[in-house]
Amino acid sequence: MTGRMVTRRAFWAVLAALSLVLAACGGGGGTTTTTAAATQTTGAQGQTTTTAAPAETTTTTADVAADYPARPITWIVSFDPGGGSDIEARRIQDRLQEILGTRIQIEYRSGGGGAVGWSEFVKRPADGYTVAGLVIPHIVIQPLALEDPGYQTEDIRAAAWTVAAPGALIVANDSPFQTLEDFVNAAKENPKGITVGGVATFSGSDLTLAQFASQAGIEVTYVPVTGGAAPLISDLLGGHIDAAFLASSHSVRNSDRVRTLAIAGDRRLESLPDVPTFSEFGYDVTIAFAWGVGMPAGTPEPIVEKFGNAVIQAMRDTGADQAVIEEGLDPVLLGPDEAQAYVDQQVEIYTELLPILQALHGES
Amino acid sequence: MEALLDGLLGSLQPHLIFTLVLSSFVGAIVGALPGLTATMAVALLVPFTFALSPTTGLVAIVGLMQGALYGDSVPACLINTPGTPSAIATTFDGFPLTQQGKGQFALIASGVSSAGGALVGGLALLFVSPPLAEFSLKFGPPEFFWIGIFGLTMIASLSTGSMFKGLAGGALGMLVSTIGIAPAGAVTRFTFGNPGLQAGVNVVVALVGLFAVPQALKMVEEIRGKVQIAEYEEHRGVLREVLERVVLRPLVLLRSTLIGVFVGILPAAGGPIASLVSYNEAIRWSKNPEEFGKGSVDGVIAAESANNSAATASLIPLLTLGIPGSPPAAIALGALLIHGLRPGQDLFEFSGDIVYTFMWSAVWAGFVILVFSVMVSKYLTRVAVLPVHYLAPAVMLLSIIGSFAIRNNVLDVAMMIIIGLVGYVLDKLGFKAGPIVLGLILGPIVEAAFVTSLALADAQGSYLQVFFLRPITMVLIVLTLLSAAWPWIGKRIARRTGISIEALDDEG
Amino acid sequence: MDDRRMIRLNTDLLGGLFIGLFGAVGLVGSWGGRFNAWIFPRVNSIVILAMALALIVRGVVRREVEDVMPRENATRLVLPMMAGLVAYYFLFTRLGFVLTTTLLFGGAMFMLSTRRTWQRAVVVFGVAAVVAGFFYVVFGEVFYVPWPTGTWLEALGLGR
Repeated sequence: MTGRMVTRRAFWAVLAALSLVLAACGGGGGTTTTTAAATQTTGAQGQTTTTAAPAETTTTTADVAADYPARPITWIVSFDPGGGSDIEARRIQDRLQEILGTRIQIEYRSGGGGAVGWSEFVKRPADGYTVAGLVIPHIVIQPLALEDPGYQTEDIRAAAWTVAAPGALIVANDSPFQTLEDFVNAAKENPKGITVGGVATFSGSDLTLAQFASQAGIEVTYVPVTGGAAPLISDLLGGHIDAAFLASSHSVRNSDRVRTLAIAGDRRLESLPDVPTFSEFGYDVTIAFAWGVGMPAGTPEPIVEKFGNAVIQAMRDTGADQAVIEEGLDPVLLGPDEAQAYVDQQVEIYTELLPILQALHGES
Repeated sequence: MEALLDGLLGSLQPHLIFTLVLSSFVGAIVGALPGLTATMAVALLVPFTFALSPTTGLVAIVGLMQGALYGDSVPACLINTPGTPSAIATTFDGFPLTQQGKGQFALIASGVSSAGGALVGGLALLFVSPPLAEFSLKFGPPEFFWIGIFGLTMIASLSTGSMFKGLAGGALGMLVSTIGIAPAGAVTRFTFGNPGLQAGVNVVVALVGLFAVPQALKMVEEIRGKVQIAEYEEHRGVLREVLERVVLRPLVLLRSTLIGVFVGILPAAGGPIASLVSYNEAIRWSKNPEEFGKGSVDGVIAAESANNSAATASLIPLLTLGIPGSPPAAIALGALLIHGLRPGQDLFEFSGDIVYTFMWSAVWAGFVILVFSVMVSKYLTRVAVLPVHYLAPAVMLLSIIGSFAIRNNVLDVAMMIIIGLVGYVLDKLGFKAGPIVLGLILGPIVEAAFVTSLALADAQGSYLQVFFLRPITMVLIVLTLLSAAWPWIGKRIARRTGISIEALDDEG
Repeated sequence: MDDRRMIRLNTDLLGGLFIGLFGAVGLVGSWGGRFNAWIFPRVNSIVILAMALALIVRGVVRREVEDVMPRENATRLVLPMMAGLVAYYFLFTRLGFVLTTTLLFGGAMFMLSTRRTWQRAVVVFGVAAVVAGFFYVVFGEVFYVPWPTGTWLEALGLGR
């Protein structure tokens, strides 16, 4: 396998070199489209430009996508196997391979709440052969809040968002809080006395709680739990914390043991028809978690489009767009045209929110 | 009851037995390679679980998990390098046994106890899942904090030689564990400007560095004096010997598996802690604690049975509460969800056939492991007979491959090499790997639980209430004090009963 | 064993000094800052420093020396092995997995052999090449491990 690939790459390299010479002799005429990929280098390991870029210089924009993909695509998952990011990749992997006609290799680069994987990812060549699973709000908040996240949100071009889940305020079944009003009243009576758990500090749950608390005029204690949703739900069910802020998929998954007081966003979820939204109470709570896929910024647009559209098609073909509703997820199916706008919108939201949280934690 | 029996019959279908055998075999190979963990073995299977029926997928996950947790004891016993973090405690006695030419004995002992662990874990899963899961919920952050502190008292029994050095090593391990993003605040610690260090030092990378590299270098030191780790000796009836030992003194196995089950159901703990705690308890309750660390079979039995039962037990909160108790369990959760199955009471009511079949397979996994260990141990033991000029470079090569493969990261290779060389120097100066690794594993648990408990204490307005006065924390504090004071108490008892306990005779 | 053939060290004194270094780095690095983010490393640094101090005092008072390792092997074999390990890291991305492994794995096996003949060299480097190829293919294809192919190959336009 590998041997054949090397041979094929060698062939393209020679061809590209030849055509470059020809192009140079011809005085730069013709249809040469120099792409950003040609100048992309990867810093850390001293690797230089890949062979795909010179090959593109001889073709028109449309042809760039016509040849793509010519070899297997690496899909970086910035979390451990079995996590949400992994599941969203695996859900469509098979069908996506069929549509694109190439193998998709999943590569795990976990750590730092995804930051490690994404910092590695943005250094890869922007040729469409490295893609990464993206998670909102992580890719927006980390560059905003971390001193040295290793990547910037602009380094990533989102190709598609497949599913989303609004944030949900969850309590255990035996909790005295039946409704959001109960919760708010209790918090008013006992400032800082109510504990709300979330995953890590300066995370989506942390920010949203700050947003909600400031609007409701309440003070609650945020409890950062490390290790993801599992220990968080366990602490909630054990009564160690009073409530938790999590993606709505968790309220559906654990629906026999937890009660969801409210979800973010402006409409109710099909899977949780009885759960009101924060906006029904007059609060503007915006958090949504979303899973998608993207490429390093600078990847030729036709390639981003082809891949992004294939991802959306794979979601439809496999019926995943219907199946995820059962799981408490919202099949947003944002293709390449809308995907980047969604990120920009999120950046705006969190840039506004961050000062609230920083004031709360008392640091700059 | 009917579902239970249906599950029993269901689990005996040929294609499921075949799946179990095959996945255990693959798991054992993956587990035996240092750097490849049970989680990775299970992750490999993820694409298939989407296509397979849920039952087959889940059975394969159990097989891979249990196989890997047997496989990891093979390098632990033979070359003093744990195949996965769960086999750390196995090295303490498994390798000395190999050095004494009893490698096969060690391997079969770990096979039998892995099987025992899988069996007890499976039975716990079958019969007491709901109450156990409810009980596990009573453990919140303050309880985890004390479990971590309790674990740290193990430094006392892991410090061979000097207690000062043991404590310093444990603290160094914990200090290294703080590299990366802090559990509270968007603060990165000790990354020295390298974003790649944000994720911290991977435990597997540290493990390979601390065990494998010093071991290979120690082989090289003595190369002219000794050409092999051990002479090969033909043994017969090893299985009978091991079984007799286990059956005549069932307490070690029973205690260890129960510890494994208990630690396994706690979401933040897991195999490494289960086996270390159970190893420590085996020393404490043994009549011959001085034998531990020098080739005690009980040490191998305690470590290996606990990690297998912990692996199965990590499925208990998954199936009953929807809370995965370990990374492989998280993958099992994914496999359930993808088929539209929601864990919890509904799962038992509406999909009892799947659940009980799966649970019975967890029981059978023990038997599969037993058969494997008996079949292959004789051949595997020969690794110890390989000349050192092959073995030492091979151990180093495996360390490099393992540390790269864990995250495909060149930085991990660099860290493994640095940790390995520093670990070797420390080893030469009397700081053993045991306490350092203990610190590395417990550090994050203690710190995260501490930070979370602080937030709880802020809300309640009382540090005393949160840290000391909760019922379970009080029990854990008493246990911790007993454990810390045990060297002195043990000496007293020893003096009275007239048994000498050299291992506890320490200046610290 | 003959005294001169072994390296003998005051492990308490040296160990205290060595591990004290880590404690010092930890303490300096964790000084100040947000309480709940830095308290844990700070406490551990202090424990290390306290233990280091105790070891140094004991080392100075007792002046005990211990056999650490055979002198001859230490310089002739252990140090080159350590250097080889470091070299592996630097060659790994440049020469690629297969070539680096063949060179250094084979070199280590050759160096440690009792008889260093050219026949032996052929055997060990052959073994090293086969092992390297085996792991390259098996891990690359089964576990999808993206081994570095080497920057020299990429410079020729052949790598990935």
